[in-house]
Amino acid sequence: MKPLVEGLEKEYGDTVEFRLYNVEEDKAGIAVADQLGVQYVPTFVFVTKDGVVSSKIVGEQTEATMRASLDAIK
Amino acid sequence: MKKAIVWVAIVAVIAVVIGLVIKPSGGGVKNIDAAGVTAAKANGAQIVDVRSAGEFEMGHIPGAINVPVDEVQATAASWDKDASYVVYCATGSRSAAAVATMQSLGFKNIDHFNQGIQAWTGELEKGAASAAPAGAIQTSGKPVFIEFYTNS
Repeated sequence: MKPLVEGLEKEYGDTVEFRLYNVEEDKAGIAVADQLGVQYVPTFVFVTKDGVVSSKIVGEQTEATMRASLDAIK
Repeated sequence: MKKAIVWVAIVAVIAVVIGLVIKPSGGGVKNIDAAGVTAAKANGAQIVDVRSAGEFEMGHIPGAINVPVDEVQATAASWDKDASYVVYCATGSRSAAAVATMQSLGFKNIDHFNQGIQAWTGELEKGAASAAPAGAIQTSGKPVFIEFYTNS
């Protein structure tokens, strides 16, 4: 998913903050994953500017799905 | 003697006026009404409901996160002190305590919905699932995309 996410970050990065956590190495990321109840990778969480989780999707995703979720929180 | 009394009275009046003019504005705290909450929310303020989890689940302002008043000290310590927040409870009592706690932690932009949710005129959101876990997802006013991944 890396090239897809990198491409989306270039496009949406001005309006959406991208936080990428490697849960094998990043302790802060593991803490956030625990708080959000993440059990599998990859998991993508889309959060509104108010801090509300808009959607959480698990597994490989199509670009269209990712875009739809990003557009929903913009 | 009369002159002395007049001068004392004049000095007292001047002192009161100066005291009113230079009185601190409350450390960045502003009392707002329901319309103010809506406006603050539109400007990206984080809405913080300091009632109990049970009260929160019964109905809360959409987008609010729940941090019961006795957890504010520990939870808010890691939040962005420069971001904007709206704090409320049921009637304004617990939120006043929460606001004082946040002020002591160094928060600069706090709007206090001091009439409480009883004065909220907008729709209510029910349940706990729609709100982010307290303190879990702090934003800088922008939406956030999070990816959890591994190297393998």
